[in-house]
Amino acid sequence: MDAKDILGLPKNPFPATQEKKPRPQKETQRKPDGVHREVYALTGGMAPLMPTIEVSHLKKRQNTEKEKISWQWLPFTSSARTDNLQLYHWVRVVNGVPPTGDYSFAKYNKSVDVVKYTDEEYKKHLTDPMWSREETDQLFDFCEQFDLRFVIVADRFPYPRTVEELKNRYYSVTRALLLARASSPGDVSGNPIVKEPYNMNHEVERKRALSVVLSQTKQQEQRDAEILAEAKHIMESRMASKSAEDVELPVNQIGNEGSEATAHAESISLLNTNHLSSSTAAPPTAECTSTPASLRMLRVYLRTHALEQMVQAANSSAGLRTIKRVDQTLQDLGVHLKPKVPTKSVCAEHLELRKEILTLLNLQKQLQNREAEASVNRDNSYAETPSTPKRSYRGDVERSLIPDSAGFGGDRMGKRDHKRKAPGRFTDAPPSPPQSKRPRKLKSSDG
Amino acid sequence: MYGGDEVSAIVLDLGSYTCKAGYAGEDAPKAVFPSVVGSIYQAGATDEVKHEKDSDSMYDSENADKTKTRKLYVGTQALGYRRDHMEVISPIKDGVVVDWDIVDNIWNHAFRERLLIDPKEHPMLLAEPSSNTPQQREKAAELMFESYKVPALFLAKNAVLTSFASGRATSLVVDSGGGSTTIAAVHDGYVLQKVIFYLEMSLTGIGILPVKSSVSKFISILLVFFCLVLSFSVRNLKYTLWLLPKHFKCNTELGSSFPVLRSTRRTRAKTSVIISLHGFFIPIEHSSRTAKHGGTFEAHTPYLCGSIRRGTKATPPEAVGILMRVLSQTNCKQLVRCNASCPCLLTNQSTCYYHIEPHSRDLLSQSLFFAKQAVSTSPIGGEFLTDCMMKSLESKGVMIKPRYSFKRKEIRPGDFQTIDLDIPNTTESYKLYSQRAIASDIKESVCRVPDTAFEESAYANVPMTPYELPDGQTIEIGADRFKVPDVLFNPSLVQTIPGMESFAGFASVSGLPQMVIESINRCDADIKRELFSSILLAGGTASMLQLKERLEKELMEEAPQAARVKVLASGNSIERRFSVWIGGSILASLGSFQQLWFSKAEYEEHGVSNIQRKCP
Repeated sequence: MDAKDILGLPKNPFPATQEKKPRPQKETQRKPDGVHREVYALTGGMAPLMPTIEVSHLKKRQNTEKEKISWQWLPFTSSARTDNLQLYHWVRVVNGVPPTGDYSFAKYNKSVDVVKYTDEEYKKHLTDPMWSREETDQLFDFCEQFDLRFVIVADRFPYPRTVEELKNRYYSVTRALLLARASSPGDVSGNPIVKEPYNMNHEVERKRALSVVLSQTKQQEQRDAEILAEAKHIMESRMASKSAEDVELPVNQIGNEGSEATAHAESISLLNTNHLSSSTAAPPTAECTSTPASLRMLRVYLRTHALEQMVQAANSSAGLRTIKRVDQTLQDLGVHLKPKVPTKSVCAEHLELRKEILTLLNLQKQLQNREAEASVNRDNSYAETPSTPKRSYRGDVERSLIPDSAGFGGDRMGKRDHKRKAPGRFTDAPPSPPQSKRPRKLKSSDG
Repeated sequence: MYGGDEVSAIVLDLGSYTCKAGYAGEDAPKAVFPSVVGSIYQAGATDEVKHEKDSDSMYDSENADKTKTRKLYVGTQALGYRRDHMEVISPIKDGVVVDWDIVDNIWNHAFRERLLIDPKEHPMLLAEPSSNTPQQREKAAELMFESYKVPALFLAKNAVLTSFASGRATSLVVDSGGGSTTIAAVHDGYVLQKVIFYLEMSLTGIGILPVKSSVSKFISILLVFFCLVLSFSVRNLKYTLWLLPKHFKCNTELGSSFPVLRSTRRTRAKTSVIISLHGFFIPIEHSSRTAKHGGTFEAHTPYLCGSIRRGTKATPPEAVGILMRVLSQTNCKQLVRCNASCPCLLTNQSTCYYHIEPHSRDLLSQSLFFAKQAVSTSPIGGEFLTDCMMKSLESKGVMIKPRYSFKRKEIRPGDFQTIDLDIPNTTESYKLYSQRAIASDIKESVCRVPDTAFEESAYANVPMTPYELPDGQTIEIGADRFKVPDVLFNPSLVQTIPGMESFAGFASVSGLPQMVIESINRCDADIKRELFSSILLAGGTASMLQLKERLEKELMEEAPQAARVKVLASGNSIERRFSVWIGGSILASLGSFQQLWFSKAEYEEHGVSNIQRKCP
């Protein structure tokens, strides 16, 4: 019953769909009057938000002359009830004849078919040491009352049984009954209850796993994550110290590629330390060993977080700008930023490549640096001290390209000291800004 | 298709603070009036009765013999008028109806004075507390059928109706009403009512148990036994269970040697008990930080001793039953049953002496459990907050003068003069009722739930909000605006409010978010997620500003990562306040509901107890 019933309107007041179908096409072509073309274009020919009912349709009354409709407060009974409770409601009475038939909502009275068993059947097929007859009866009673809502059944069950136990009993009883009643096993083999027996252990296991997931609070999860991170950190530092020892020892465990990478990385880092980095040699060595350490630690190579970490570890010595440049170079070379097939050897090779690019970039930077310095020196030759001849810079640059690390020594330190002093000297005689800026910037990022 | 069908049902929700009544199918109750009544005891003083005759809402009590001398005044108007010696009394105490005579009067008032209907013609839908007892339901049904002769009746739980009001069959309902805050889980239209606690038991090690055994009057031997130590906990209380070898014989001396039982591992034991389990003795060491339960425990020791002395060989289930009975006496409310499939662990000595197989451990832990009411209720509701507000105002020197206690006269335009009246015969409860009405209005108009936990120092400098009392006095409310509502989240805050120290026990009540999380965690794992995503906030107190936001925020922090937390509350405060009634209105006007009524014919045929089945 709704407003349409009361007003005597048909349930579907819109014109029949067959009439309407050809119309929309016309409408899309022709814009309605009184609407600007631009505004109409904005709607994109879409249906209007409000349904439009033609006024003529509302005014039209079908068969009103023949029918005399009145609404009456009449009693009714529902077939869905076992007693004949008489309630009253408003009924549409046509021509003084009240409608007959069942209550219109009685058809929604649906219930689940729960199997019933007899005493003999119970004795023959259904006895279970874990379940008494009373409990089983109660279970089936509740299953019927609550329409197989097992959570509710477990809640109302007077004996403490878990949902799984109840389900297990219910399904096993139903299954046994179906099998026992069937004339041949083939008759009921298609029945889902027979085909797929309830697996209680699986359900219990599933629920346990689910509740573990759901019983963890966010704080607990955070704490766990922190502890894991901490553990990882400790592991890493242990591995690092261990691998540092390994490096000192001639014996290397990480196979050919790994050892090569280490050796190479070491030579590069030595180069780096001596040339550009800070005066203390300790952090760079730790850094250089950390790469193979992380490699060694990741015994399974995944293209996930771990991989990223590995790449990051390789980059850790360089500044953000340098990393970007490394990536840029990699892209120029057509190499993926992260190894696509991260096997051990591929990773090692990849890291090696990165190291090499890093060296290359460093050397390029140095070259630029030196050239800038040289040009400045050339410009401000008057400020030059006689103890630093121009030639030696060039020689330095040339020599640094040779990866041979032997024979570098005190003079390099002296060079660095000298280089440090250089900008200070420039300040009293300001050179052209772009030239002076560059070396300083490099220094700050590298040193 | 609209599923509605009008059968002119009446929906009645008798809450602890207000009673809501109206016609099913409407969107708000027609009549809302206090569920407290005024009562005057008359010891044959007839002149007073005559004096009160002008009042329109006066009833002669129907139960002539019991309340012959009592006159009850029901309704807002009848209560608004001050009468000499009129006490304000409530039919409900701790969520349970204690005085059915008052309830009868309230119903009568609702039907005949407010809705103006004849209850004989209308089916009734009554809302009831989610954890209503069967006796209460039967009593309500009996009263409805017997004295009002309703054609049909239905009892629906508050939580279910709230859930229906927002169109959900499964939800967690947080109903913060006048008298209490109730949290109930609704699944498929049924309130979940029972929780079973299983004891988690674990083997903690092997202990050495020295026992003094007196051979004769003068000689006593100290025996040392190796035994298994199992530990388990029931609701924050830790228990230790000692399994002794079989040759530890049961004799009369044993009883006297109890006090000597000492654990070498833990010495904080309060009490020890020995239970004979098929030749094994299990002394239970009960250690808890709070010594509260020690006494109860001790009281049961003789009983257990007795059973041992008589040499009754308890079969394992029985023994575990004894064990459970002991535990149930200490803390748990209801003991259900002991699993029949119980501890093979305790019967088979060869495997259990120093080694417990995993599966038998499972069995043991399963065999120990307790059932408890699932609907959790906290006494902190709207009225409690009103009291907090009143007391904290009083401590600041603000006297709330009830409207009846003064006269206000306009001396010249815009200028008023109040004259205090001296009314000696006003009862204390009526004064409190009138003051509460004002304090409740203050609370409703200025209070706001703080975004984070309340701290005195952080809110010391919040801007003051003015409020004008009925006598024209303007008061300024500062930090209390935030402090009072925060009691919902942190009940221990009550102790800092002067005058509320008597409620210090409330400090042990957990805050709203913890209650919600606990309630959800008690439910079946399969429905937890759904409950987390539909937490319904309803009731009068729920219309407090920012309550929903704060609750949601706190729950987000506490809830598991895997669950999506969503707190739902209607934006309309009327809908929040009357959600139970609205749910009832929706339910009773559904066409498919009409088959569910418990009819008068059924009542007469099957008796009143059938209501438990008809209205689950």
